[in-house]
Amino acid sequence: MPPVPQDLDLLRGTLDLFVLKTLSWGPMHGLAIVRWIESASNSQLQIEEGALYPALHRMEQRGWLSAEWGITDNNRKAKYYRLTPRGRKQFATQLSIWERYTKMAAALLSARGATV
Amino acid sequence: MKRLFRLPFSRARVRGDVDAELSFHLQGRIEELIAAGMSRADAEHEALRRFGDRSFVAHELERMDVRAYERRALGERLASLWRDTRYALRGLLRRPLYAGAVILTLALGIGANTAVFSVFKTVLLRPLPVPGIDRLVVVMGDFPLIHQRFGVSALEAIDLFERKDLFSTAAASTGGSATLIVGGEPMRVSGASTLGEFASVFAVQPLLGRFYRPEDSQFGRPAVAVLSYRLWQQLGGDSSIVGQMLTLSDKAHEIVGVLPPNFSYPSQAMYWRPLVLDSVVLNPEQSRGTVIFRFVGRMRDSLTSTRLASELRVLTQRWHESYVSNYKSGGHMLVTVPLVEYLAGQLKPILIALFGAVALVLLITCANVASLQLVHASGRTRELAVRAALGAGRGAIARQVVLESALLALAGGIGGVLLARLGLTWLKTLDITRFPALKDLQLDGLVLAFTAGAVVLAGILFGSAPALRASRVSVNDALRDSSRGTSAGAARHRFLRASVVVQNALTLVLLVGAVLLIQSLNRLLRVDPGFQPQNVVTFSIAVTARYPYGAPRVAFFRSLEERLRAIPGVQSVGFAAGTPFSGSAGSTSYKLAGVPTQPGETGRHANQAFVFGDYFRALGIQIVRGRGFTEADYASGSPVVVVDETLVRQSFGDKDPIGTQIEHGPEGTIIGVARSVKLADLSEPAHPLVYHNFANGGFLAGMTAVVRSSLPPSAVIAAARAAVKALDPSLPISSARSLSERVAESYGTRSFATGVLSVFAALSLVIALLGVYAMMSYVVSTRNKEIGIRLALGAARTTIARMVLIDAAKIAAVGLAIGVAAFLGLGRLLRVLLFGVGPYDPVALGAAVALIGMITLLASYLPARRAVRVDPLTTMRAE
Repeated sequence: MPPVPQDLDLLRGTLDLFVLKTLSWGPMHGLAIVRWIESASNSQLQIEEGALYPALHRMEQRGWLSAEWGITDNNRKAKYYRLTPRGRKQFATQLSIWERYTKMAAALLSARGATV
Repeated sequence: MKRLFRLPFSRARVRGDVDAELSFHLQGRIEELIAAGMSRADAEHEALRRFGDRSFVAHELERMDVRAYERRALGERLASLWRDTRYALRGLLRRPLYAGAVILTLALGIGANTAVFSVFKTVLLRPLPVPGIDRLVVVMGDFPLIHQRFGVSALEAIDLFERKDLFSTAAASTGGSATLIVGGEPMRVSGASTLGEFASVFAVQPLLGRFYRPEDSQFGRPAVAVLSYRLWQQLGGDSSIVGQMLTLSDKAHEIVGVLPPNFSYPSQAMYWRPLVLDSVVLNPEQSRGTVIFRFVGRMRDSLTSTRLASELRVLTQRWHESYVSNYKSGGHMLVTVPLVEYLAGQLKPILIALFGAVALVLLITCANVASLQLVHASGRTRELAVRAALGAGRGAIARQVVLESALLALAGGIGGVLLARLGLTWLKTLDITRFPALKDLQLDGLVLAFTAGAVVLAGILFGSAPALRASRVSVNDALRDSSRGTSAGAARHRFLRASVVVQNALTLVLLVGAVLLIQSLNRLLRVDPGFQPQNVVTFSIAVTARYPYGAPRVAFFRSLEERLRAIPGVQSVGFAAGTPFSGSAGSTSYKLAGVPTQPGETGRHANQAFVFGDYFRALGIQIVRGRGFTEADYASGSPVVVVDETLVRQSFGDKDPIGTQIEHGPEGTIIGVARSVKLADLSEPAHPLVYHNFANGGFLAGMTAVVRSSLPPSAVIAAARAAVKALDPSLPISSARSLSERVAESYGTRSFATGVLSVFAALSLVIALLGVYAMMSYVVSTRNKEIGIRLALGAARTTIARMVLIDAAKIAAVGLAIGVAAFLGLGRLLRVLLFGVGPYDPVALGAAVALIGMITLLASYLPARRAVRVDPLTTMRAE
């Protein structure tokens, strides 16, 4: 399968959801988040990496994430993000909306015929 | 993962963080790609490609972070402000009595300032709804030789209208009155006849219809009039009134418009009509000397008052040359007065004095609150020092004190506005000033802005000193020892003393002013008006064209006199045009046959009165020489006159005036001399008065009836109204009042202002008393140890008491000395308001100094007693 085009409008709003999902595993820095999304989508989803950071900072300012400077395993300074309790709740809400939406969209797109 | 300590915020810091975060990302990617087999150059290229526009992202992140920080910082500052405010509020609530007293005094001070300013604004800034009112001037005729100031004549006004180089627009008006029928009853109303561009000068926008045009003054035009809002309401308030005819004193006028309710110039006018320029008005011989018009012009923008004055001087000179016979009395000169000042009249100096007084009250209050706050702050030195030691910055501590002051000022301001509203409502119901615009007195934006300014100023005045002191608390001193006796304590003492000195000085200024005004009022009330106003009722009555001048008019007043005298309880009845405090009849120059000018006599000019009936007895005016008018004089209409003592003193000296011929308008023989009377104001200087025999011609249509009786005024008025109605139901009586009331009204504004000022002075005295008490209590409490030592060393208790009292007396003396000096500088401003007493009256000054001195010692008495009771053992152990 070819990679899913990254600039698809639909995907923009889902970036937050992907980041929240990724961080639900534990604190990570930006690069780790990108890697996780790549591996979890079998490299089919290549997000524009630069766009990740404004999203991270925005979510931090909204109080969904908290950020801290830390030292990586190979002794480098990196900024780690973690989900706050509010971020966790936000994730749950967005996830349920997403699920309802995709179910509805799938049902709609696979419908046959029309009764007017 | 190890955590790093977070450094404080800065823009550079944000930039560094963003750069580090993005560099880490790219570096990680590059290493990953190299590990996957790419060359370093390719890896770098690929990493950047995947990342997108690095500098854009970096810039965006920086912007977001800085903004987020600023929002957070503002939030934190607001939160800490709110925290401090709550803290300050709790502090004040812990001392409800203190806070309540401070807020109440502040509210009084601010409320008084607000109320006085709103009156000040209405009277002196915007007495009429006319834009650019400060460019309007009144031109008057000044006659320095006879110390009189009049208006201008119609012909002079017309000459002035020509001077478009001086006045862009101008009008002249004269008062009048007319009889009209309202609801079947005859009514007498005041009005005005105008000349020139009246509507344009006063920017009048009629509520209904239009204002008439200047051309309507030309002879032969149809008679027109505009009505005041009030008269329109009395006539039914129907908008179809425009175009209807209204009979004003026997002549039908077409109503062309109705003016809005807030227009009141001249102040009592109910109608306005054009003055008709008939042959009488246009005849210079007859009309140039009739200086009864108020000329109001709008000065050209480029014109200065000095230039206007010199132009008018030139114009006056030209008149004197062209119309020699009209200006022969000489000394005549045109002068200008700003319209606002003209309208304000006596109110201006009174308002300025009141404004000064309330400002002083506020200053005294501020000095007082500042010292109270400071004494209170000294009680908290330890608390503040502990907070300072725990790391609260000097700013934080000062903020605490400032917030307390701000809360007090704010509460005082709100209370002040409420008090001012109450005060203004009360003032409006009093209506002592009869200043039309004061009926619409209200707290508008300008007044509230003034109040806000006063609140901020007060807050700064009484808040800054304690705040500065609090921020300078020395942690060491305060924690090691009580600050008493240390340098901080000494500075506080100095401030408290200075504050008491200021309070004493300002209170003295206020008190002397109040005492002087009270003295003036007392002198005024003791002035002999020359007549006896008690048990006298006066009312106006004007006959219509049914009673042409001469015999029919005289006959009418004779029958009215008989009917009034027949009322049981009535003792005497008289009539006159030109009765004291009930309307004037004009004035003119007089000539005496064969009486040379006396030394010091500058001009012969006298007021006129036309008398009928038992006038002198009814008013209680004594005839000091010769005789008054008799029935025979009235019956024959003989040309006889009575003059007053002032005229005799001025023109005859010691010579006997009886039998001398006098020409004063009508000619006549002097048959008697009457006591001088005050005509409009008890404080007016004496001016000659000539009483003419009304029956000699019977020209006047309007007269004031004077009825002396033992009945209550309302009963006399009712009976008089019935008597007039029985005689002719079409004639109205108007302005029926007791004469005592009218006299009292003439000094109503003055006595009101005196009362207000006295209340303020008393208030300041109480505040100053509290200030001295607080200071001396504090001083004594800080000197407990010293006093204890003195007592232990054998000082007598009386010596201690004397020590405290002398301390207080010294401070009072300094305050009083400064106050006296200040008053000597300011006193002359009061001169215009004083009567019968100079501004530097030693009695007033002495009384005020003594009062404040006494109060200071009184306030120090309790602290002194406390000092005497100090137990040396306890105080020395306490340290």
